[in-house]
Amino acid sequence: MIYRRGNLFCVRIFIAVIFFSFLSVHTYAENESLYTDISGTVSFEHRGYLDDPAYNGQRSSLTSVTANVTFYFEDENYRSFTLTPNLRYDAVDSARNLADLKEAYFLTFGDIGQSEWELRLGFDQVFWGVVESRNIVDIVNQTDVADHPDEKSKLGQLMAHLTVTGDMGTLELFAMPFHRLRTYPGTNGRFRSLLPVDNDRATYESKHEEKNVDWAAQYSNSIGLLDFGISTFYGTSREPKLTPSDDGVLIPHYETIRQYGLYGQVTTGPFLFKLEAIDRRGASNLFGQKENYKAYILGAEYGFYSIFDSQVDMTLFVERTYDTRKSRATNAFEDDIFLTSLFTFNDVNSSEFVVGTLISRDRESQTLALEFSRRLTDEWALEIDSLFVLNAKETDLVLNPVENDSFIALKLNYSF
Amino acid sequence: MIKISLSYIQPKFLIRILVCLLFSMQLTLSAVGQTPEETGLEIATEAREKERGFGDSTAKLKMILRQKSGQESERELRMKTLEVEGNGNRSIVVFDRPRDVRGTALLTHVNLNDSDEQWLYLPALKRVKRISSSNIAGSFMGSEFSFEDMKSAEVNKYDYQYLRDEGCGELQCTVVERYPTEKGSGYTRQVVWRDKDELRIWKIHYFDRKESHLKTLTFSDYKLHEDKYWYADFMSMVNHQSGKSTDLVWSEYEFGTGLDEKDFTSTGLKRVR
Repeated sequence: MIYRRGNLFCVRIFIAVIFFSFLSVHTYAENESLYTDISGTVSFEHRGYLDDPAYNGQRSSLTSVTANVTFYFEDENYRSFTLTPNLRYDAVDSARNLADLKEAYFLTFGDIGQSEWELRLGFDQVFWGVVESRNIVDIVNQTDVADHPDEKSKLGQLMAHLTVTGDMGTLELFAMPFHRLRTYPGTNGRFRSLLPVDNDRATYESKHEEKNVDWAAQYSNSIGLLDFGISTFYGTSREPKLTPSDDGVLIPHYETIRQYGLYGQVTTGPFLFKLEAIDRRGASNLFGQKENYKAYILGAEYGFYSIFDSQVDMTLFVERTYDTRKSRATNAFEDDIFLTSLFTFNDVNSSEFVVGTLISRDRESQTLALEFSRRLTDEWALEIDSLFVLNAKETDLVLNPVENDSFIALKLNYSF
Repeated sequence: MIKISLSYIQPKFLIRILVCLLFSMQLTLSAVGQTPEETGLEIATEAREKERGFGDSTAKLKMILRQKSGQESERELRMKTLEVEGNGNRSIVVFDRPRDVRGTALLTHVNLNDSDEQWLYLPALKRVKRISSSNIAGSFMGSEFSFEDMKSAEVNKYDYQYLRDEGCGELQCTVVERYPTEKGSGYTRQVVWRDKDELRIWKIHYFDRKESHLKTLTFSDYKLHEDKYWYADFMSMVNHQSGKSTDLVWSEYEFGTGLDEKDFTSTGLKRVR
């Protein structure tokens, strides 16, 4: 059974949170011992694509400005309210425009005996995982795919998040009453297939649609050299099944899934060993058929310090990614080797250079990423970001549609 | 005559002589019976003991990085420190400037008999990352201070040798050489000047793996906190090989701020401001 998404609800929640926030902040502000702080980053990005577009409507570049500003308020009991709107304007692809609440949460904490509890209520971001290629266990927040094809940007998630920390480790419980739609590049944008995704027609498996309450829990601990966590999620998947419509768009359908996750890291001297593994049930594969699957990523990291007697450190990451769906997997990490080298120059400008590649073993395709960043002044920083699709066979249904979308981007960040 | 001589053997006088004798004997014994290694260790142990008992503290730190050309850049950070009974300190460093790393925080658990544990908090991703603590010789924020220079010097992480006493300014100093035992240290040895009154460090010479004099750290503007702890408000590290230098300016020391172990966990690290 398929249910349509109620459009207005999202807008209503958004307005309610902002209104409630300002009301609370106003009430707080009358208290003299309130600590306030404003910080943020404004980014200007221009991305140039190297090849001609493959599909109608696509452009050869992208220009956008993003603002992330955090307003922080804390009272004398360390209770705090954090508000971070994340706004993005794209001059080329309107589907990349974004008005998100990355953070809008109240935080309070206290003691119970030898343990401590912490409660966060509102929109927030959570990170789970240890590897660098793709954090498969990380499931709480929706992905902002429109922002960057590396799928590492996230949207804020409305949640009640309770943490209890003690000698026995850390237990976290999440109740998430409102689902966010995954963002996708629009008709003018790159990194899409022939058919653009139409979010206005998104549907849900749950009869409560986006108002379905999703649940998650994680237990984590750090024992000597080992850091680990086990997690579970039950609710509406963050990743939709995409089905072509008769009028030439992809319609997202969000299924109800259950996921079990495990991560671990052993930190021994300059050597780090990492594992992420999941078991997901109830999701569809690349061909739209329900297929339960398991996926794992095994990784190692090694730090070479002061290479060639210079100030430069080099960190090498090697990861093996695997998905039991293989060619039916919905991402590019189905059976791959991820090799990345990070050069940290340890200079005054914190210059960094990253070269990384993802080599698919069964789809025989390869991508290459080159990144450089350095500080220009106390407030301004420069980033050069590039991604090259080197080789994508026609049989690779994930990378072949984007084989013309290699790009070089220049980013200027102003932080305050 | 006898009467007079008898006054010499009055009990009060005898005791005085005895105390004098014993005292000089003890001095001679310690000078003769203690090796330079033992004297060096004793000074380091006593100095570390004097630092203990503060509980917890917070402070602000400004770093001024100077290039050979004289060009300067600044870093601003805040330090939160918790003393742990029977083990090394726990600390959180929060970066305020440069602005691109604002909110980034580094949690360190110093272990006396094991390698340290470190977690880095990246606020943009809200990610806590357990990182390798073995790059102790690496530069701290591009400055002339390495990670090992920034840590509190735990007694058992060095071997010692007492060299000599000498005047340092208006004070008398002991000069002790110490040899890092921690794996990955960038130094073969360090020479430490401490005054005899309060065991405050005034100068450290650092010698690199090639045995050449790499850096000199000088301390000044010592202030007394909580009637007990001497902290230098100003430290200057000069790299003799590169010509670069870094100044540390400490301010706003506070003690007994209510920090406890729960603030120095990865959950606490995510809350840090």
